[in-house]
Amino acid sequence: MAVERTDAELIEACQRGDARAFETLYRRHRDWVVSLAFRFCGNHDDALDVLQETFHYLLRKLPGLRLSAKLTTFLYPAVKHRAIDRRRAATRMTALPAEEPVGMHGLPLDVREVWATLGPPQREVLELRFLEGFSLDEIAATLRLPVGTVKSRLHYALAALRQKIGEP
Amino acid sequence: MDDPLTRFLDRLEPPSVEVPEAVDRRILGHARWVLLRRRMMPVLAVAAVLLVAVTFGWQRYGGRSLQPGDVDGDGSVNIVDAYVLAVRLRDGSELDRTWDLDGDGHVDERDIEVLGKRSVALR
Repeated sequence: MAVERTDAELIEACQRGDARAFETLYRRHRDWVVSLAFRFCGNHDDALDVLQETFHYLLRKLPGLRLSAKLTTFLYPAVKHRAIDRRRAATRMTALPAEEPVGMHGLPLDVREVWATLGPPQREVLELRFLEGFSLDEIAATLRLPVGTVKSRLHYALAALRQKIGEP
Repeated sequence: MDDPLTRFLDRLEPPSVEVPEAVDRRILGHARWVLLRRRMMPVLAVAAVLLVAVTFGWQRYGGRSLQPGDVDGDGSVNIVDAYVLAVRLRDGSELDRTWDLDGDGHVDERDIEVLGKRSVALR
């Protein structure tokens, strides 16, 4: 049975010019990137543009890239900021409600209603933990926060969420 | 554990977004081109340096051999060069300063002698 190469090994292969390694990375993370982009920008075409921009960004960063965690922790801020920029640009050009919290598109309506009552930092740790399935260490690496801060933020976010959904 | 919070969190599913094949092709095609260009960069750099060196050398030496005494430009110094130099001196043809093998500042019969001795000397 062939052993699947890790993201770090694939990155090293890409740095040697291996296009197949890049394709493996792309196929591995494509759906995650486009889904995350859609949650932040709420538009299918914009999500596809963000997907393309994100992998172009990865190509530009490849030469000096040393992965210390999963590739998703490296890509998360790139996807998020690009998608939010797209959302802002669309808001400027159309009558979209700018105050609608980001990162909720595609979630069920009642979930969004509860989600919207939480503060952005609380939402973000909850999303990374329960929607993206990141470990505490990965959340800390993604948000560039100490693990202790992530734990406490998650604790308070869960307590707030418990209260919002009416659980005693 | 089947409390309301767990049920709520279980409902969190990332949205599914379909990616058309054309988008895959565009992204992967661009990646192949970028990676190929990066892989070829050292080769292209060496080729560029060689091209400059050859061009410079050609301009500097006009296509003549760089080996002193290689009068006929065949890449080696032998008795034929002594003969060709003799003919050139007799005809008054253009002479190259790299044929001044005894270093006296002139290309003349003494250089033919040096060439002759060199070409028959035991190495």
